[in-house]
Amino acid sequence: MQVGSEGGGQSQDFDLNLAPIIDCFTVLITFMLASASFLAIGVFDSGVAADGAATTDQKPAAIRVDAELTPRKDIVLRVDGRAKFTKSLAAKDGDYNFPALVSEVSELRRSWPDTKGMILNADNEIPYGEVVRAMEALKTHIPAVLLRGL
Amino acid sequence: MKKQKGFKSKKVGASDVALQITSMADIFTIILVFLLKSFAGGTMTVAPSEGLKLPVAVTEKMSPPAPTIEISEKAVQVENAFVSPLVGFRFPAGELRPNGIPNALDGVLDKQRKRQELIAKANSDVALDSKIMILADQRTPYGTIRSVISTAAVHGFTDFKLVVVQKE
Repeated sequence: MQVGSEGGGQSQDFDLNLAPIIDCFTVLITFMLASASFLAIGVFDSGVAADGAATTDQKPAAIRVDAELTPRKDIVLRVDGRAKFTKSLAAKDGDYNFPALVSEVSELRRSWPDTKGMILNADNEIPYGEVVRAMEALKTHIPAVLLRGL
Repeated sequence: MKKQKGFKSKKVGASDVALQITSMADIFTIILVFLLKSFAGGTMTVAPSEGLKLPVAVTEKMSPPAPTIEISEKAVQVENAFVSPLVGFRFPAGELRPNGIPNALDGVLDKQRKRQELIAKANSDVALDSKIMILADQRTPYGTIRSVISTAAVHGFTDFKLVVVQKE
């Protein structure tokens, strides 16, 4: 760093010493890059339905739709209320038949437009990833998917 | 000072090249500001623990600021603090009450809620928030998830934000 002039030391000209600033920046940037998470994160909104009762104060819909994922990769669809039936959607190619579930739910919503949500349940041993897959399939076809609680 | 003299070219055409450190400082400043803004914007606030495999799905929604519950193979954490051990993603025997609510998690979420209530009571601008983020490993059995979300719901955290990794 050059402080003062080469002449008599009276001049106010000086060069800012940038090297320590660069040092600080390097350490800060390294720290921030190391502590940053670069995962592209998203979220699914959900609620909980305990004992089959939805957690909303709204007027109950004409029908209540429940879907349950079973360990045999079947999906059991139960409809209660003004329409009552139970349907088992068999596994397809060894996997849950989510397109069939989506199709059934879409059909129910066409018949009962006040259906704003459904309850998703799964066997205790079903991995959470499968539940998320079901929610992903249903998200554009029904506004709310509640998870069955205890 | 003597060292820096070495960087400066003394003659035109000499092989010594002066290092343009000012432009480097500019670049570093821009990177630093970008990283600080990213942190402040909340896009990097979710940092899953090592070994946690979040489910992968397509969703456009971003994670809002909310308390987090993380469920990994060996532990349940609330706000990155250890709460309860897990054995192969399952609560150990004795941890669950007969109604399926885990003891330790119940206590921690109760404290969390009471803290929020105290803040809301002291500051009228702050409302009680029912949002809670769930970071769970995709291999977690639904029985464990059910216990956790039911415990959260008991304490008023009913708006679940299930965190996933965005599918490419």
